[in-house]
Formats: sequence, C-alpha cells, structure tokens
Amino acid sequence: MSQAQQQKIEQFIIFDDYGHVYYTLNEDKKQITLLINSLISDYLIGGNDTNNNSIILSKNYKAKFKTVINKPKIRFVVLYPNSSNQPHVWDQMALDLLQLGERLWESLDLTEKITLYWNSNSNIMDGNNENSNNLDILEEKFRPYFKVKYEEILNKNSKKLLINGNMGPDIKQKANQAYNNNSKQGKSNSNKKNTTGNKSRKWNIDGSLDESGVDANGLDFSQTPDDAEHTSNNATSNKELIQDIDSSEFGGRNANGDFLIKEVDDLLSDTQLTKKTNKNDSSKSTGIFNLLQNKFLGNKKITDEDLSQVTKKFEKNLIAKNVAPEVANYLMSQIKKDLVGSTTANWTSVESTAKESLSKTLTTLLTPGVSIDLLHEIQKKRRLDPSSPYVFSVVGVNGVGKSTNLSKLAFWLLQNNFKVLIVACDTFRSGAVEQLRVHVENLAELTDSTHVRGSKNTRGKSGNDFVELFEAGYGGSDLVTKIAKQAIKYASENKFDIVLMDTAGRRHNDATLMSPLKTFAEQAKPDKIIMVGEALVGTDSVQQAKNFNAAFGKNRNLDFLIISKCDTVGDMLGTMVNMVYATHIPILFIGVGQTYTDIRTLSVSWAVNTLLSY
Amino acid sequence: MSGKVTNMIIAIANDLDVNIKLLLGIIIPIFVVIITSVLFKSGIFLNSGFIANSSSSTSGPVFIVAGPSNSGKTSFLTRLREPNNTKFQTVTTQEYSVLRNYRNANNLTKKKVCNIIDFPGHIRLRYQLLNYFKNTLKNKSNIRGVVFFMDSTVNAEQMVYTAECLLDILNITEKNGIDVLVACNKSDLFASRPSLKIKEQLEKNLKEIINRKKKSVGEKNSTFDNTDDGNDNNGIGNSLEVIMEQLGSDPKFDRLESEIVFKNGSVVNKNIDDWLEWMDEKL
Repeated sequence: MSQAQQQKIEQFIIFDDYGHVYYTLNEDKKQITLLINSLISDYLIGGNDTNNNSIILSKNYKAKFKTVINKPKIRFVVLYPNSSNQPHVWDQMALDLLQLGERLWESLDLTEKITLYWNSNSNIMDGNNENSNNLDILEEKFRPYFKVKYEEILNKNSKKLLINGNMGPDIKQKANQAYNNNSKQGKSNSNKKNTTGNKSRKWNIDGSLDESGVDANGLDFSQTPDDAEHTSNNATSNKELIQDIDSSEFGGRNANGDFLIKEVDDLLSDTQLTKKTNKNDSSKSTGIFNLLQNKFLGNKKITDEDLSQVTKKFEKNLIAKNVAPEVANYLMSQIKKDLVGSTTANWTSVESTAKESLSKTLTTLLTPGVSIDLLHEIQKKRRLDPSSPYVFSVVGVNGVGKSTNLSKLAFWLLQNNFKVLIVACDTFRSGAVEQLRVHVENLAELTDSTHVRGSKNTRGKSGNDFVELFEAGYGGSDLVTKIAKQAIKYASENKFDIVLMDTAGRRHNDATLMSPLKTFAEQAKPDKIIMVGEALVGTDSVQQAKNFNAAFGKNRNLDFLIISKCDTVGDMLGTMVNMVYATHIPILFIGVGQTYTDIRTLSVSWAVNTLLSY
Repeated sequence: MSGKVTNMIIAIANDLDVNIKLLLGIIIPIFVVIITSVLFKSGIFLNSGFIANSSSSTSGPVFIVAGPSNSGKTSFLTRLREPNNTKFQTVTTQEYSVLRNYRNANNLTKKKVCNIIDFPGHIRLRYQLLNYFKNTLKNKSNIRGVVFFMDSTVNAEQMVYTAECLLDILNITEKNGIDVLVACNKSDLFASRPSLKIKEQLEKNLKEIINRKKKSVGEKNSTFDNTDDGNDNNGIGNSLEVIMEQLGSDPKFDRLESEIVFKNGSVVNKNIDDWLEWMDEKL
C-alpha cells in the first residue's frame, strides 16, 4: 500500500517569498510542508543552482521548481515520487504541471492581483475586506481550471505508465475512472441533446470525481461558434440540424467538463498572443527616456540587456578581487534571475539595484546556514558522553597553514580550559612531527609559564598537563589511521577534552593522495573536519574545496572552513567566496596574522562591503 | 528637448518684444543649473548606495515581527490581514513583508493605525532585519516595539537557538530603547509551556551563551584593524558586549532598561488578543 501512496504527484504548491501560500493541489500534511520548507532553506535561500533539474529531496520525493519574477517572487513547486519506474515520465509530468501552473497564473493575471493584495491597506474597521477579494479568483477560477488540466496530464501520463505495467494501483484506478468518464460523457452528449440543466464536474481533493450535480452555468462561457464546430464531430449526420440550434445552448448541454477544458485552453492560447504583443511594445520604447530611466529616474522594467552592461562591470571587479570567473559568473546569473522582469524603484538606477541584489546574494552565500557556536557543540557532546573526547581533524593542500591554524585553534581551546591532545597524523613530510612539537612547547609555555622547554610531562610526553603531543613517527597511510585510533583511545583514557589531528598536506587533484582521506574519516570518525584554505590561492580554490569536500565519500562532508593568510591579501577576499560557493560550508575562522591569537570569526557584512567596493 | 525649450523662449521673447539676448542670457543658465544640479544630486544619491526601498520606507508607527523560523510570524500577519480566512497555510519566508495601516478592531477608542513588518527567521536571512535597523535607526525611528515570536513547545535542546536569536535582537533594542514582547506562540499544542517557564529557560540559556561568547574568538570587521573592537553606530555590528554587560553574568530580563514582556497565545486558535493589546499600549 505504501508503494501506491508514493506513486502520485504528492503536492503542487504556489507560494511567494513573503511566505504566503496561494494554492495547494492536495491538502497539506505536516511532513510535506516540512519538505517544502527544507527545499526553500536548501535551494531557494542557499542558492544551490540546479539548472532546472529535479531535486532529490528525500528517499521518496523529488521536486522541481519555477520562479516568476515579481515583487514578491512567486514560486511554483511540484513534489513528486522519486520513482525508479520510468523516472523520465514523472519528470516530464512534473515539468508539464509547472508549465501549466505558470501559464494559468499568467492568463488569469494573478501577478497583478497579488501585487494589489500586498499593497492594499488592511482596514478592518471599514468592514470591506478588500484583501481576500483580490485573491478570490484563486479559488473561483484557478483551482477548477488547474484541476481539469491536471486530470488531463495525469491521464496522458498514466497511460504511458500503464504500458509499462508496473504502476501503482492508485493511478491505474484513476486512469480507468477517467476513461470511463470520458466514454460515458460521449454517450450522454449524444443522448441528452434536448435536455437542459447542466452538470459540472467537480473533483474531490484526491482527484476522484464528485458528481454532486452543481449547476454549471457559472462555468459555461462557451458562446463562440468554434465550440459548436468542436462538438459537431460527435454528430456528423445531423450537421444541418445542429446549425439550426442556437449554438450557445448546444454548448451548454455539453458542458460536462469539456467546455471547462476548452475554456482553459482558450485562455492559455490567448496568453501567448498577448505576451508576444507586449514584447513588441516594450522594445519600442528606446532612446533618451530609456537612458534616463536606466540611470536616474528609476521605475524601469529591467531587461537582460540593461543588466548585461552592469554585470560585466561587477564581474570584472569581483575577478579583480580574486573571485574565480566561474563563481563571478554564477553570481551574475543569480542577479539576472533575481532582477530580469522586475521594476526598479523610483530614483534608483539599474546599477544600484543590481548592486543591492549582488550584496544580497553574497550575504546569503557567506552567512552560515547553521549556528557555528563551537564551544556549545563541544560542551554538548562532553555532557552527553564525558568519556569520549571531541575530535577535530584538519585537512588541506600543502603549505596552506594547517599546523599553524591547528595551533591557533588549540590555543583558543586551551584558553577555554579544555585539555587538548595534538596528534601528529602527518607521517609523510619530514620534520612535520618536530614542527608540531615546537608548537606544543610554545602552547605549554603560554598556558603555564613554569614549563621548561623540552621537558616531558607526567606521562612522559612532550607538553604539560593541559596540552600534549601524540606522535608515532613516520610511515605510510595505514599508519595514519592507526595513530588516529590510538590517539582517541589514549585521549579518553587520560581524560582529554579535545583531540586535534594534523594531517599531511596533499594535492587535491591527485587521487592516490586523496583516497586515504576516506578511510581516515571512516576510521577516526572526527566530530568536525576542518579544511584550511589560503586566501592567496585564487581560482584554484573552487576545485580545491570541491575535491576535498568530495574526498570523504557520500556520507561525510567537510564541516568548516578556515581561510588562512587573510592579512596578506588586503581587500582581495575572493577566495572565501570561492570556497563557500564550492562547498556551501561555513567559514569557522579566518587567519589574520602570525601569532596564536590571530584568528577571527568572519563579519559577513564587512566581507561583502569589501568585495563590493571599487 | 532643450532646443524646443529655447525655441519657445525665443518665441515668447519675440512676442513680448524684449531684448532676446538678455533674456536668454538669464534664463538658459538658470535652466542649465537647475537641471544639472538635479542630475548631479541624484547621481550622488545613487553612488552613495542608498536604495529607496519602497516597502521599507513606511510612514507611521512600526512594529517588527521577528524570531526564529517556524514560530508563526507569517501566520500571525496573515491572521491580521485576513481575519475571516479560516484556512491558510504558510511556508518559510524569504523576504520581509509589510502589513500597512493595520488597526485593531477591538480597540475602538484609539484610531491610530500601525505598520507591521514580518521579517524572515531563517538564519541566513537575519541580515534583513539587521539592515532594516541599520537604515531606520540612523534617523529618528518610529519603531514602537518588537514582537519576538517563538514556539512555546520548543524543547530545551533547541531553546539555545531561540535564545541566540533573541540576544541579537535585544542587542539592538536595548540600546535604542525599544520594548520587546516575547510572544510564546502555539499554546494550542499539548507540549506548550507557560510563558514564565519559558522566561526562566531563556535566561538560563542566555547565561550559557554569554559565557561562551566571552570566551569566543573576536570578529574581524575591518581591513586594516586587527584588534577586535568594532566601532559601530547604534551597536549594529555583531559586537554584543554592551548587552552582555547589561544582562550581567546571571542574566535577568528585568534588569534591562527597555521592557521585556512574555505572553502566551496561539495564532491557530485566534488567541492573539494579549499580543494585540500590548501593541495598542505601545502605539
């Protein structure tokens, strides 16, 4: 039965950026609403570009969405089964529904009505609730129209799925029902020629037919002679007779749904015409006034062309700030998506509107999607399970400052009265262990001024009671995981709070170097994997971050980024954007100098302002 | 354009039979000055990055509705917007919206109206609220209060995120003398807790957060300055020092200068009169 429940279009929903839901195909279920919200959070806000592909939302559901530019933006989302059976049919069906929704929306001028809705005053005292009046059309027209066409799409596609034979019973039943209805209807059309009193078709929420016999005059808009011709196919022998009968009356008799479909079809074909003429109109208005509108007056409908000039300028500036061309390109496409078709505010140039949009996009990109209160996370884990330490591991390309930033992190943790074990998992580069030992000596000295350099602590290791080095010499990659496991065991035995693992630097596009990372993550199970990237690197940062993020396998990602050497680049902060764009992972700290205290959290507004300044 | 104007002037001058050259000498420079100054002004206007955002520039008293995601902010606004609509649904808000000229129907004595702004609660979109404060508080603000929405059924584990969000908002409201109503929504649900209990828990969580923040790493918010003292106007950076000091090491809301009120209610059950009453008081 669960199979059958999965095999249908789960939801078609129209909402806007203000959070208002205009239409839902099916009644809302809590679980589905949660899925829609996670879609908004991950894709619409997070800016994950999908290029109109399907999004796999969960094990059971896929989604597609479409946006109509307006203020607010209108989003059409269809949620459908993530079916292994003929996935392309489902994809096509979802696409059809999206198109249908959008075209119906346009043809009913709903965008205009919604603008009215949002701009109107709320004035209950006066008794006239204009707000809901504006949107009544949704229930009165949009709902029945959409239902009709939805059935049509469902029937069309369910046949395709029927041929395959593996379809869930839900649709089979629906398809049969629809087929019966059609044939019944055909018969009744020829039989009931002289009866009056029309019945309209009404659909229940689950798509089944409800023949409660509502009078359909309200739905009957058929007066054109075309309609008569359309129906005349049913009765070719009585052609002359038909022409004698008043065409509108004849049409009325036939209104059992067919006319509703016809009406919707007419409506939809009309839109395309008006759309074309609109386009011609807008292209005529060029010249000085256009320029004035563009630069000074505002209130201008933004076209692709207007934006292209501006975005070229922005793109150049961003690339000059070390943003990779790929990322700059993406940001520009986001601006276009955001603005083409919208209208600038009064006294606002296209450029400043675009700048605002770019600032918005960058801010949402750089702002962490999760809380990055590391101390809270550590405390939480230690409270739940005091015996096991909180494990960090640091990865990155050679020479980006893994060990240095690890030591900075260690210093900060030591300041917070945690006991820290530093583990030398770089068993490859000569001198790596010695380098860490120097850091540990320094840190020991900083936490306890009586510490004598080079002395061993009570357990016979480098360091003191608060910070200690765990080392096991040099060797191959199998040694690395062995050390990691031993270190964690050692840490829990000796009541360390934190384990910090330094790993060997590796080239991100070398598979033989990258593949050990996966086994390392699986064996050591670090609570947080932190990638260090240097602000100096430039375009390659995108690929670096992508490869490192992918190196841990399907089930594990990086958790945080540390961007090092930010003091060396001035205002060229592009690398941050590149890395966050590539991984959608928040920046934990940025390194801003040589000493142990030179780490900072990132102020997003500062970073965005710096990137946008000329 | 200007040619036409000149022609017109010439024509008029001819009609009046005055010295054309003199007239042109006076009028045309004036015209040019006016036009260029207007253009220049608007040019500067634009370069300074000021955006005339039509929806944020509202006149009249303003209430701000904020709080974490999924606490019922948009539902509350929709409830006010469409009091007769029994069945509505909302999803995560992505952009703030304004309810203009709202008047509480129960309040017949006061005829004042207010604007209510619904800000998104999603963590990535909180900047919208901060930007709004930044832009409006520069001038004399007409913000009468903040209605902080929260889910009264939220468990102790999740309460920390609510507390974090509240601290960010208190950080601004306290410095600017704005009162806050904490609307503990969803009282219709079984797991809902009374507002007093929530107040207690929030204080406890704030204590932990403040302790952590004190030990946390400073923020880099200037290109040249490596020290972590951000000098921001109105305290709208993320520097929380002042509010943390005011709340003290054992935070109590009553210690703050601006008023923080807790009230239960439910948008679903239309049990929102307590909140509306509070807003009326502040008008």
